[in-house]
Amino acid sequence: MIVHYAAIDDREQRQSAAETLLFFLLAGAAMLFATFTAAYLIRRAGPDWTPVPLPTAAFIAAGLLVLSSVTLHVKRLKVTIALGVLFAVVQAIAFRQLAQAGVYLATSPHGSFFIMLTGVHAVHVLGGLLALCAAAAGRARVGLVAAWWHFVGGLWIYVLFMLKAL
Amino acid sequence: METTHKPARPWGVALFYLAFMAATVGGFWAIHWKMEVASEHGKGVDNMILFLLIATGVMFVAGHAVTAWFLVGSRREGSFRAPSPRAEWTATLVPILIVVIAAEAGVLTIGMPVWAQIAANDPDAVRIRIVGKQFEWVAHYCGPDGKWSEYDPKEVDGALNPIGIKDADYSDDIVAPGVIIVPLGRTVQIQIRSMDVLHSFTVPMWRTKQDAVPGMPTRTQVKPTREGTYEVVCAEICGLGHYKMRAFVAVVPEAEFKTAMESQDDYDALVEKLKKSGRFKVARPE
Amino acid sequence: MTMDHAHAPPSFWSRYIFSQDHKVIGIQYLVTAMVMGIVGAGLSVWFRVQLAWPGTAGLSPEQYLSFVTMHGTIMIFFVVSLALSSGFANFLVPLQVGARDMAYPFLNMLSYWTVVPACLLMLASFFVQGGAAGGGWTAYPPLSVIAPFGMTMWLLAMALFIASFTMSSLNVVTTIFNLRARGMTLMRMPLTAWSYLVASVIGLLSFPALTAAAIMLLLDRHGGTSFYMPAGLVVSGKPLSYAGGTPLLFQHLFWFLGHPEVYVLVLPAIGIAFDVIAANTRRPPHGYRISVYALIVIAVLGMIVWGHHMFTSGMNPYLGKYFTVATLTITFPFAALGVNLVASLWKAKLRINTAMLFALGLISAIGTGGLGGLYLGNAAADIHFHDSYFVVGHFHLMIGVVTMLGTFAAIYHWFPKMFGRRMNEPLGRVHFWGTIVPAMLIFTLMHFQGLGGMMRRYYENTQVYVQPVQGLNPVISILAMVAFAAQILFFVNFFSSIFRGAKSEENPWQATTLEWSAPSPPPHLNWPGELPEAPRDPYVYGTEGETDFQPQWAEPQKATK
Repeated sequence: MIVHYAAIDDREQRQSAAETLLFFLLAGAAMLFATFTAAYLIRRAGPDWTPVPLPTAAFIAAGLLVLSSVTLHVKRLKVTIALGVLFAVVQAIAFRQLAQAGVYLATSPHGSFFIMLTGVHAVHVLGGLLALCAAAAGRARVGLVAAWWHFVGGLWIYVLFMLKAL
Repeated sequence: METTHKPARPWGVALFYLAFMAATVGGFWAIHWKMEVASEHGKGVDNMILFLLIATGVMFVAGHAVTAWFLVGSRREGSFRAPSPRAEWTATLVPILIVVIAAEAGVLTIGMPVWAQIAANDPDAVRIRIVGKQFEWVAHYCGPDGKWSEYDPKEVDGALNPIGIKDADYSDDIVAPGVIIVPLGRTVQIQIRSMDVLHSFTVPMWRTKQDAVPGMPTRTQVKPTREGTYEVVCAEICGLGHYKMRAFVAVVPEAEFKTAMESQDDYDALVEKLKKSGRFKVARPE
Repeated sequence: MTMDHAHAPPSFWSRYIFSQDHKVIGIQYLVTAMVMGIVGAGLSVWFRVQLAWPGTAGLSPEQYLSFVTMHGTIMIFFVVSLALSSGFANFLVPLQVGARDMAYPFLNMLSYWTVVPACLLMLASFFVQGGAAGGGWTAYPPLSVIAPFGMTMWLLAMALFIASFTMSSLNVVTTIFNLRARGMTLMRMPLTAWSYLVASVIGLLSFPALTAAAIMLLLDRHGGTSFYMPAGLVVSGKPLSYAGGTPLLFQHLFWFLGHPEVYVLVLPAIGIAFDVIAANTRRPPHGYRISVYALIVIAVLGMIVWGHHMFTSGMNPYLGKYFTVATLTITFPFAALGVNLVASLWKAKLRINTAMLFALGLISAIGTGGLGGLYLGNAAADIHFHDSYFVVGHFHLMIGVVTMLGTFAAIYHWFPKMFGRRMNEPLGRVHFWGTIVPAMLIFTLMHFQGLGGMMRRYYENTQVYVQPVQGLNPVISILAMVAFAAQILFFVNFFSSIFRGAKSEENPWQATTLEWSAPSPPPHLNWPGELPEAPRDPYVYGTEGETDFQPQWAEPQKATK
């Protein structure tokens, strides 16, 4: 039987430890996407760069994430989780829209970045959804989970901006 | 349980420090590490290395000697009197300032000009191309028309067309796998390409090394200062044949080089002549 | 303070296998590192037979390259990082800062059980068609894109490793920032804890670059993308259909991790050396504050000098200039640490034990190896040395010898705390000498080989110009066998002392740092009663009075005069 226990007796210490944990998780994720940004800018200078039109579903998904940040802000956790799941579904539709336009993983470097970054971002969204469920079950601090969720939402806006404008 | 102990004098460790120091310094005489240099910038590279050998040699000997001395010659009997913070900072900063400034001034003043030489784009340089592929180096000259033919990967055909020259039958380019010929005393700009994976065009005796990057031609410059034949090796892991990716570069008088540049047959004839006359032997290190 | 957890009596599984106790996890990591170390070192002894006596090792060129690749990968990540960054960090950090455990014990358990499949996947890759990855631990494309399936397994194993390391480092950082004992300000932390803090922070910030690089490499390999693959490639006579990518991108991303990684590996060894030296010189380390600042400056500068691994890569020559200048600046803080280590021996009341021997050996290794860095960090000189045995000698001294000496110093020093017993001292000394002499000789000789132009990752050295220094290879290979054999003494000592070593008291070295106030070995939750406080500086050695030290947990007014 796997035993969970808290090594930290002091409530204040537990809160600040969680904040430190969150800070470095955010820092690591930020570095990951900073690296992808650098890779994008370098690859963009390549000889065969032709941008592909981004699927509308991706932008709808972005809107959903923004909405979910709002619902999270007013502490409607279950709605936020539902929006998060909906986000994933709409992203899947985005992939289908791309495929229908003839853009697959290797078709164009711009498309490759879109698909790859969507996938990597989705992993971070999944982590956020799990954290939200934990918060809904009272086992995680809402404040910190919210910070992660807002970050992940902002990240998606950033990724779209990068793919569209840069 | 010992709350106080008789302070030790670790002669063994001190001896190790001194012996290791002596062995390393002695190695410079006992080991045949020197390699002749046959290019102009190569002398600059060697000067840089020589400077470092002296500077780091002094630091290496001093560091080991001082440590050995501290170990056996500076023990204390009673309590420890901490130095003032100022004394502590001074004791740390002074050695590093001396050492680091000396070393780094040298690195910047001797090294940077050499780096600039290699990276330069001399308009008067003789231009040649080298194409690296698993596992050989192929020299590619532009021929009498002064223009390099294009490459077409689909036209690669074994030994007949190793680097995929487009319309090879109509090209006056000279293609020479394994044997590169360059003129003595002229600056040569070597444009380096790769057909498959990363390689690194390296002529140790020239102190020349430049990666061959697929999709991104690179270049380096060198002015050979000695006639002779030198080994070309690969310095970037490229697969199972990495260790035997070998070529030879022959430095010949400029007149001979110019003749060789007139046609593929002239080039091949010069190579034959070099081999037969024994001028194409790589010298063994002394 | 109440313990607000409740659990049923722990079963064998939750106590020893899926333990969430940082001490057990630390030992699990150490033992795993030992096993991987036997494999990693064994690979090098084997392939060195080929180098010294070509044709006699039973290795094809492909196998040789796989051995070299896997030796590097296993030693860096699965031995040194596992033992020092995960193993010792886990055991030591909570005890040294006065915490009951790491901040997130469950995460800690997960981190270990993530690295075990990573190890297994790495080892399994030897047995697939095409063998284990063979493009060097640096895995540059295009070679790593066209490589057989072992390369994919390598990438997946590295992904698991990075996940494990991240979880472990998050724990270290969170614990140090938040769970320090009352009174222990950051400037009262021992240098070992400081070095772990700094190393973990830079690890957390730099591994993501490798993750991104690896994801794109996997996509180029299996998804047909062209992140790194340019147009016009012809392999084995056949044109490939990639287009537009650049191999240099991978190199930049890889070394963005690769350079900070060496500090992740080496800084803990330096921190450990300071602690061991302090306890055995009965004086505080020289320049504690300077050393703390130096650690931080190295960490920051270490993130912006990665291009010195790429001087000949074809990147813009102006970048070559920048990276030379930037790399030179790291000499300052690094030399400061070296000077402080040596100065800590001044006016010492020396006690020589095996741990101290290893710490003293470390000083020679870091000085010698560090000086070699000046040749490599300098674009002009590096032309001669890039990809030569000079590089191999340099990095082995720094992240091989320094780290291993530091690990051994740590084990001999903290063994009494870990197991309540002492390791055998005479055997330890033989182990020390049997390790330090061959190790220093091997890698110093390699510097000479590099001067003589010997290239790394060569199956055989057939060039005419290199024959004089090729003659050193049999010497080096034999020394390697000696060093490998000497480790048998260590294993015998380590494992037999766990069960049969002389019993040790709580603080056998009369050391000042907080971990020594816990029982040897500490029970679950480390201190049976209240947590200790840290009203004192960490290195009050050399005092007057009944004892010559004041432990960090002793109240100042209780000092005897």
